[in-house]
Amino acid sequence: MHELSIVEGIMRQAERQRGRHRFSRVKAVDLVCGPHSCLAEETLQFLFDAVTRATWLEGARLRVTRLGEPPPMPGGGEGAPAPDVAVYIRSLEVE
Amino acid sequence: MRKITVMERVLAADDAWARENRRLLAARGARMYELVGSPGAGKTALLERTILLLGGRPRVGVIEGDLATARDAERIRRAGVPVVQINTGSGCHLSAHAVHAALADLLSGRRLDLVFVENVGNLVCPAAFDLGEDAKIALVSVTEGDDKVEKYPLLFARARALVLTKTALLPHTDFRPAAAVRAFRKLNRGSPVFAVDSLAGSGLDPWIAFVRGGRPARGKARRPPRRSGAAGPRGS
Repeated sequence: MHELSIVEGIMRQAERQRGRHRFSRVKAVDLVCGPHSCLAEETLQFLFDAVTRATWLEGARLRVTRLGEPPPMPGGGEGAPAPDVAVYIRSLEVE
Repeated sequence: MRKITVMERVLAADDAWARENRRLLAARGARMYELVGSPGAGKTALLERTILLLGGRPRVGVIEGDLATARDAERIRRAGVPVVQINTGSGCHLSAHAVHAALADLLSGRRLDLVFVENVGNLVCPAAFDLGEDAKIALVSVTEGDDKVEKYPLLFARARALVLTKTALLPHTDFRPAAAVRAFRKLNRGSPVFAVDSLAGSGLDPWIAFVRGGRPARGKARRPPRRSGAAGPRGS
């Protein structure tokens, strides 16, 4: 159920972007994730909807693009977040 | 409607805490090894036996992660080393932030050389989160089945060591160590494999040498073979 951690991360990032760009609502969040990020997309949306109910983020759609080709495994890179498990916010559709 | 380009990691805040943990450990000259395995894989038993065999050198502290109870922490405390228990509630993995608070607690007024983090029993989620550890160490018990390495590739690809546990039970299972190691080598060429039985106390010398050996040897920069059409395990 680590999707909840991802949802919290999305909310934090959206909050930061609102501070920079001034908008009132988010229509959609475009996410890009590595092929090994273990994200269950339906679970992600379900949790996002539950957590953002009655907030300014309510109703936003999460669109996940999964990178298909597994990049080489990190082979134990110290510290650096491995690209194969990373989840990025590519863009926000706002109004 | 307009589009704002972001291109930032969702877990940027967690990554910052992982970096902070590394900084704290480096400042104190300590390493951190994270044990990851299924519930019942023998993570706590391996820690108990390891603490006993290390005999205080290096000086060990432990962070225990579980959804509930402080049972594992009590076991570790009885083994004679400082321990901090984190209860994640419903969380299926430890976060770098939670580990930071525990680390600060553990290192407060104490000199430690090695911190073990026992993550929540789970082969999926802990693999995807950086806690600031020097190495993730994967455990598979022979009672789980030798197909676990193939089924949960992310953890085993990232692990700096694989420990097969409960080997005294091998005669009573259909676990094929060679098959598990073969699957592991497809994902991970550089990391050592240990076969131990923590209760019987067998096979532990090479593991103890690895733990004492300072920073784990880096895997060679060889690339593992690409797997056709492979995606990671879905769901959590």
